[in-house]
Amino acid sequence: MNSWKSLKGAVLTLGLALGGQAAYAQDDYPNKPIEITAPYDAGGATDRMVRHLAPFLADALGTPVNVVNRPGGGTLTGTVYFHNQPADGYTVMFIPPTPYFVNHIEVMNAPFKLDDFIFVNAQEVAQSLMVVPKGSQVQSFDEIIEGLKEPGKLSAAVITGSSEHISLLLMMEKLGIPSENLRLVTYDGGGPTRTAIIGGQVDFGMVPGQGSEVIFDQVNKIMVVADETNPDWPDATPINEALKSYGVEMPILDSSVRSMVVLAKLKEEYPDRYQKFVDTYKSVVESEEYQASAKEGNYGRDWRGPEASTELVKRNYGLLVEYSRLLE
Amino acid sequence: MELIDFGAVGLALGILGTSWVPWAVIIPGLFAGLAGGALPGISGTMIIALMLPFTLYMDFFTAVMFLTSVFTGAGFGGAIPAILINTPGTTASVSTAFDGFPMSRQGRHNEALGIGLAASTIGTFISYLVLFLLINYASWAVLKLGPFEMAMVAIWGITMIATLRGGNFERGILAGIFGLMIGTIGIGPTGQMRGTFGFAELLDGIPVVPAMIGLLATAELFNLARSRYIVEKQEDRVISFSRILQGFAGVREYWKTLLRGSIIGVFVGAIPGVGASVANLISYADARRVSDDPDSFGKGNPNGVVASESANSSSEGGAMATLLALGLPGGGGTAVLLAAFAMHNITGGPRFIADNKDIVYAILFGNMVQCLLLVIVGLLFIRIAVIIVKVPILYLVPSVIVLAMAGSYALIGNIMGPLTLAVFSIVGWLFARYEFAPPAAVVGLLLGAFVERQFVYSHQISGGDLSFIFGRPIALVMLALLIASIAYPAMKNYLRARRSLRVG
Repeated sequence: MNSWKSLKGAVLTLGLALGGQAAYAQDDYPNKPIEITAPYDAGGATDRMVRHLAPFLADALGTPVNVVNRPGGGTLTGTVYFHNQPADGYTVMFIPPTPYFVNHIEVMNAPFKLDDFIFVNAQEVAQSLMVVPKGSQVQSFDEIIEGLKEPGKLSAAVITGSSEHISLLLMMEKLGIPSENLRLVTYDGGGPTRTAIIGGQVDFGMVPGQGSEVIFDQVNKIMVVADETNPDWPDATPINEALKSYGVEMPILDSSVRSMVVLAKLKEEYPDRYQKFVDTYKSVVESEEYQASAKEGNYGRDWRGPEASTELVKRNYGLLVEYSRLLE
Repeated sequence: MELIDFGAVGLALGILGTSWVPWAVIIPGLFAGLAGGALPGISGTMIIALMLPFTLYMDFFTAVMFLTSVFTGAGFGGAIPAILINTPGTTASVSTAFDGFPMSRQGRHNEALGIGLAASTIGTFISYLVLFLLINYASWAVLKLGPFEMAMVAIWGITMIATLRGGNFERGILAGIFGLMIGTIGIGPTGQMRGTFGFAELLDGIPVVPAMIGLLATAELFNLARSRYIVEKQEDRVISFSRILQGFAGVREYWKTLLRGSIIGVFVGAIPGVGASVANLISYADARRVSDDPDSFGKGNPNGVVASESANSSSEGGAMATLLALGLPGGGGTAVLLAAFAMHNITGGPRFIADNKDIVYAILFGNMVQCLLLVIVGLLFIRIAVIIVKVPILYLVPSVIVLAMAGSYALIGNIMGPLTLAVFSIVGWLFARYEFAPPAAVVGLLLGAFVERQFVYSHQISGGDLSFIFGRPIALVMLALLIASIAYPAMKNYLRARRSLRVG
């Protein structure tokens, strides 16, 4: 069935190539397969989410939608690839732009700027969640803070350079606790981090809550970096509520902002295509069918729209730049 | 937790019996895996990822059957070019080439392929059997392994460098160190960049597969250019199905190596992030270490092929244990399987196992059947592939290089792949020419970044306090075994020398 669809797509593409300009002038976008560039390896939380979304988008757009993993350089390779594609609406990207883009743009001199992209929809804004393995020597937020005051007593796991990494160090700085007190293990991905936490290799950990559901049976949720309690995790206290008795306040840094991205040029050069893509995507996300299926699979399914999403990304980007000194 | 849930076993057999569709996808899956594994540069992960879209319209069980068949096929596919042209099809079959290729050159190519297939199928079967018995426990044991234990596992593999001397011990060690060093190029475990000279292309480090093919294969192919065929003697250059079968049946002579390799494979495969490409090296090193005649390794000892193939295949079962029981992918192949799970809204993990034991058992039984079918499909496949020995080197070398170039391009997705292959072909040729043991460099490259990362994590977890080691009993046992296994042969030689002195 699927190969038949791709075959139809291929025939369509061929016809388009042969038909040349005439076909283009009418602009019956989309009339060939659309690629969603996925600048990470297959199998991660974001990858699973976009692979779940793709067939719904394909049905609504009436054209095959292929998720193509282009991993490398902490999403740099795939983002550069995407940035080099024509802004014709046939290549879009699905990515958590922060914290990766901060390193690419501020440190690596990447050939793109934040303004080159429109963040069409931050479909899932994951929140940083502090968890402890069941059986850990610390089981509450206050016990963790007490433990942190003793040099070398506690160990923790985070993904290196992530929002959780920065939030944790910032919290310690605000509390006046030297960062050396904590034996912090900086893993290179969500998988190893989660494995270390449920294996009891560390006393506590901070993970992107959405996407870590697989370990929820084996941990206790302590604290969430958010303004309000997440109804899915009633046990996790919002960070500033937990910190109230210590007299400090934290800026809320979101975890992964899993977002659909198009090139800003698309809106300038093909405003109709841009609008069609955004409207179709919106109708998909808001459809009952998608909502039900995504709920079952535990995938984020919010519609924030381009303005709010782009603003959200920029806010997090700004915070990360401001506090990236903590990682040095 | 009970060992086996017999009620679920009955239900599992029910699932297997209800439809013929899951069975029909096994053979195409095995062929796809074999072909993908056998093409240099196409990794097992990649072929599974390529097959993923075909599963969109299959039901969950059929999709898993199909993808695990690809996995199983790819597990053996890599051995074919390793044995015939010294070109490991995947990183999992590096040490298959060490003895497989010498066997081919001696005219024992039929037997080598047969033995490899037997070790591979039996290894996979054993791993699923172990999984069936221990699925409730295996994954939890694995979780208890921290970075320090993983570093110990990798060091077992690294000690192999010392055994891969190509005539000159010191230069072999140097080649290994070279491999370890270039393995650390790219983003380090704490996020800083090293040895990239500002090239964004090097952020992820040296692409391992093209470098491996360059070091091992093209270097060897240049050397072969003077010969006319891979098998020198015309009377040996035969294609014999009966000798393939003899090789297959002959594996029973090496049952100890086979069993040991399978067990090593299951456990190493189950450790997240380690997998088949480390398992085959450890198993090979272990087989050589316990052998009465270690010097015969690397010169066409069938034990080497058996050790490598049994371990890389059985690590599939181990990786599946981690995937099913913890919902965590052990390596690239199972990461794609996890994506397939996701497409059907299924997440692995303790709850999945507890609630769906029948499906889990059905997956395990289905995979055991795949092993049996792999025997037939694999025999047909190698019967065709073995024709390579009839191809004059004159045509073989350029074809392999072109294929490898295309494969590295496909794998990396840009010109970096072929460039790496070209550079490391020259390095490999120079190394081989001056006895710097290219295989030692490959082992270093494969394990360098991994072992470093695990040491950094250990350092972070312990806060730099060495007494941390004494709280890790598993690691201590591993360390003691490692030291003993290195010291034992040296002691034996020393005692033998003293005894002969006394006699003399």
